Amino acid sequence: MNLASLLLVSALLFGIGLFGFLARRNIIAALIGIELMLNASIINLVAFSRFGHTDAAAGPVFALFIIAITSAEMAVALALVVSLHRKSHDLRLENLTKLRDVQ
Amino acid sequence: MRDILFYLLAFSALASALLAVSLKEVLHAALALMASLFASAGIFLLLHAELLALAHVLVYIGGVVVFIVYVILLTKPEGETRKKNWQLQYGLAGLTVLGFLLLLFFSVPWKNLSNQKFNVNDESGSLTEAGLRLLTTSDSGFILAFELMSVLLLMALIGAASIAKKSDSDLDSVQSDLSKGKSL
Repeated sequence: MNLASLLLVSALLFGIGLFGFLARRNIIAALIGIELMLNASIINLVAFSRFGHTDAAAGPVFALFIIAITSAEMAVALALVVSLHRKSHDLRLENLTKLRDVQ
Repeated sequence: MRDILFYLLAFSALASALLAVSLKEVLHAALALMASLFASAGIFLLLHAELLALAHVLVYIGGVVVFIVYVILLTKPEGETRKKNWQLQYGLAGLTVLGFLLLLFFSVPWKNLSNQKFNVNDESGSLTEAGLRLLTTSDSGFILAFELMSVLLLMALIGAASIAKKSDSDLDSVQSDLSKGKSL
């Protein structure tokens, strides 16, 4: 286990999450892709704080902040999903054009 | 031993992440996401970040993924309907990811990275150390960010409740039902 292998794993996880975010059409599936990308960024933070001459406690603390922000983001996003489902029963991303100003 | 565990955890994290983006049923994808997050929590344990591994399991798996599962059950999304140009969308997404990863692999100085030593005394990821750093006001403390985080979480809580609540007309009908003695 060295820094390069950790970064490789995190880059691949980020790529998989990006693919999920871009390719899936269901809103919840796209949110799962976002979760994977944030998780990859946390792995990066911890890896950099554990190797080399760095502040070893700052990485995990910063990762805790990312976890808190992610949970706030998911709470608002899933509330939007529930509200959308109540209005239109359609959770596909390409049909979400209500806010766009086209007639 | 440590290396074998790391490769095992990394492989399972990647495999279940692949499942999470490729399974058609969203509920199955959420469960695969749970497995992937569990494997990354194991990686944090290997890196001596015990507090972070704990928070990861409690908040991500116990909170966020369970929340996602609740919303899936509440909204009953039908499995992804493959429409006519899904191949185009999957192909474009795959090309984007491939380009991103190639850019990353050629821009990172891998040679310099591999001779960094794993330096951690057993104190640095511990609960005491992290708690002290979170709540000190000195230069190395994070108290401002910590307090701002609590404000952010409160705002997200209020926002989510007000976005997801039923509209006023729904509430009125519920109230009139109640006054007529109907049970909910």
